Amino acid sequence: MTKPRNSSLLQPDKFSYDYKSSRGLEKDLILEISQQKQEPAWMLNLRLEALKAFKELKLPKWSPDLNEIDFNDLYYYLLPLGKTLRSWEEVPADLRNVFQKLGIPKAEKEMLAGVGAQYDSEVIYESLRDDLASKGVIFMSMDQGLKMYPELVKEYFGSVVGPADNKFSALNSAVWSGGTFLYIPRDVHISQPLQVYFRMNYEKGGQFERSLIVVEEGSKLQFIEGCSAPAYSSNSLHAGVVEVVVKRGAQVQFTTIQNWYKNVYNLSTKRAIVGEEGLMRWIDGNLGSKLTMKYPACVLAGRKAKGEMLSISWAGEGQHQDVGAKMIHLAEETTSQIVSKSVCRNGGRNSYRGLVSIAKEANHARSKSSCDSIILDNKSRIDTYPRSRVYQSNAIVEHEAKVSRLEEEQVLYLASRGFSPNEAEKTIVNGFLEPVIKEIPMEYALEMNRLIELEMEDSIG
Amino acid sequence: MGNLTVRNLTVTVDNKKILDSIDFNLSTGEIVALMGPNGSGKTTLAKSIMGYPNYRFDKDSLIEINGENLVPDSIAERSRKGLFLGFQYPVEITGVNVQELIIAAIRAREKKNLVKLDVIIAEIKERASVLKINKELLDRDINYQFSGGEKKKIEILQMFLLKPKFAILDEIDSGLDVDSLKLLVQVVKQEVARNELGILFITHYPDVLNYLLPDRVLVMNNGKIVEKGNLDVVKRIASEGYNFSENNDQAA
Repeated sequence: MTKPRNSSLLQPDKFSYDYKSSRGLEKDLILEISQQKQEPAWMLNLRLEALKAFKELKLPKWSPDLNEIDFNDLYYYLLPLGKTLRSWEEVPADLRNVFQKLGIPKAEKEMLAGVGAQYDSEVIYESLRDDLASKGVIFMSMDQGLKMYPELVKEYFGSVVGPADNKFSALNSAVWSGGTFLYIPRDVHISQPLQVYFRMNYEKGGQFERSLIVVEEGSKLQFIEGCSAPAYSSNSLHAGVVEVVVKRGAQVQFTTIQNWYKNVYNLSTKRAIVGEEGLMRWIDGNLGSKLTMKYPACVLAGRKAKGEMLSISWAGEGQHQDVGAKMIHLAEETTSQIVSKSVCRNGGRNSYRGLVSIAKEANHARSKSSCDSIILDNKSRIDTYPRSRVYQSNAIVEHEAKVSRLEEEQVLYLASRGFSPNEAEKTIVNGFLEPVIKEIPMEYALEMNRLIELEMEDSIG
Repeated sequence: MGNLTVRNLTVTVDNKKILDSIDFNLSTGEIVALMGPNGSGKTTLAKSIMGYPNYRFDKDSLIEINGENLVPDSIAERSRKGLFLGFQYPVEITGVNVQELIIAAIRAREKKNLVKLDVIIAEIKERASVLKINKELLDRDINYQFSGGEKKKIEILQMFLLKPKFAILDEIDSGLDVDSLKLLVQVVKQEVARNELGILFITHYPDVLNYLLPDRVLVMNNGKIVEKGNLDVVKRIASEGYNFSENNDQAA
């Protein structure tokens, strides 16, 4: 283990790290992380079991090629500050500038109920509106949550996504650092969103945040996460885990705008368990990364629980988005809806991978999936792998998929109104994505549109 | 005043001649009707003038606005130079609402002098109300699940907002009920009377011309203009059908 050093390695955000582990993934690293965080024994044990599971588990056979990831060549634990601050003034200027450029402090003032900012392995800043804190809302880094609410964390941590659930949730469980612990007591309606922003900075770094959100009966939450990373020539790895517990009658909307740089492997596990008449809605915008494998899931465990997934995925040159959703119906009259929109161009590849599972107990369950894709040129590729497992004959499961090319008649129509080919293409693609974009909170929808516009300007003549 | 001049317009598709030596003029402040049976080449003429791809022009074909040759220009450039085509079957584009499309189209032709958004929106609303377009239609995806009449009104609305010098309206009368058609003809005539717009009005129903009262009438058949005249031509078509002009053509 070394102390921070040579700042030329810390491009492009220049500052000295408070702590940096050496490369590689061995038991010593786990002991080091756990000791630094002064964790209870159960957490250390969970980490060690998870490490064992990670080493034993094979990569899934259906997975896109992951051989380029050298797990022994990554930095797993990077602390920029060694502490979490509650005022932007205290955050060192170089780090503060990064988040200012991302517009976080401004959004915080104007429209957010709370903010978290994670930089590599550490949440460096967090805030929560006073009125929510006084209602008993807990919003802090996972590390802090474990210290201050050990019982609550122990009750739920790993209850939705187990340490050995899959190879990358095992990796996350072994080396997790940062992420969000959010607890909302009964009948609290939070009208403004809470947001967490993730920034990866270190070359060959890894980010393994761990989030746990528990929303008690009758409460409402809008949660947003954004992410970005600078441009490096070598690959980095992001493997987050998000667990959401939606109690009876509670409603959660969880929006992700993923814009990792195009050398990041993004292999995340997100899952919610939804109680009676609860609603879990994932909104997922995948624009960045080299390869994303992510299939947010809703386990519909209570009667009339509802799961929704709205997603946009965008694959440009050198990108593969292998994304989808899982809806697991375990109780009667549960409903789910999946709307997936994907665009690929310049040799990008999009794979929709979905699972709808209806258990025998899920009488009169209903599920509807629709997956639409547009391919903008002849170099790109779209695949759809929908799967359903239905063990209850009175369930209604619908799936529709449509792959289309850019329609020339539409381009010509817009041309006749004065649109250049580039403007016409942008307009048509934006229109195609509109049904999902309109569900994203306003400011983020604008951001999303801006990112898409940048992508389209990249290479259209 | 402005002039659209079409000279010697000869077009082939897959080595087949589909337009043959088309000649005509259109001035601002003028309405010229273009008639002809189905398949006579009216829509091909409209799309050729607008610059649709896959049409091969003979080399002495000429399309000019005020002496400026448009043949090398793309569709979008022709649009920005003041041509407009109102489609017989406008396409639907899901996710793009009428008002957004019109705003983007106006922005696409502005270079520096940006008109304020609220000014544009106010004009869209005003023109829509004159055309008796339901306000709610402006927020809907363009042409998606629109009635035939709604589609045509939205085409005319776009024409008014984009302020072309010359508009070709292709069978804008089909799919419209009589009241809507009369309203449409009336507002189009009012606009033309301001002498800043010339209209080539394509139809194959003679009836509409009785209230459109065009300044001149062209008749096409088999890719050629076979008759040029005034409303008398329309009366002959109404009583004898298009055969008369074909016979004429053969006789000539």
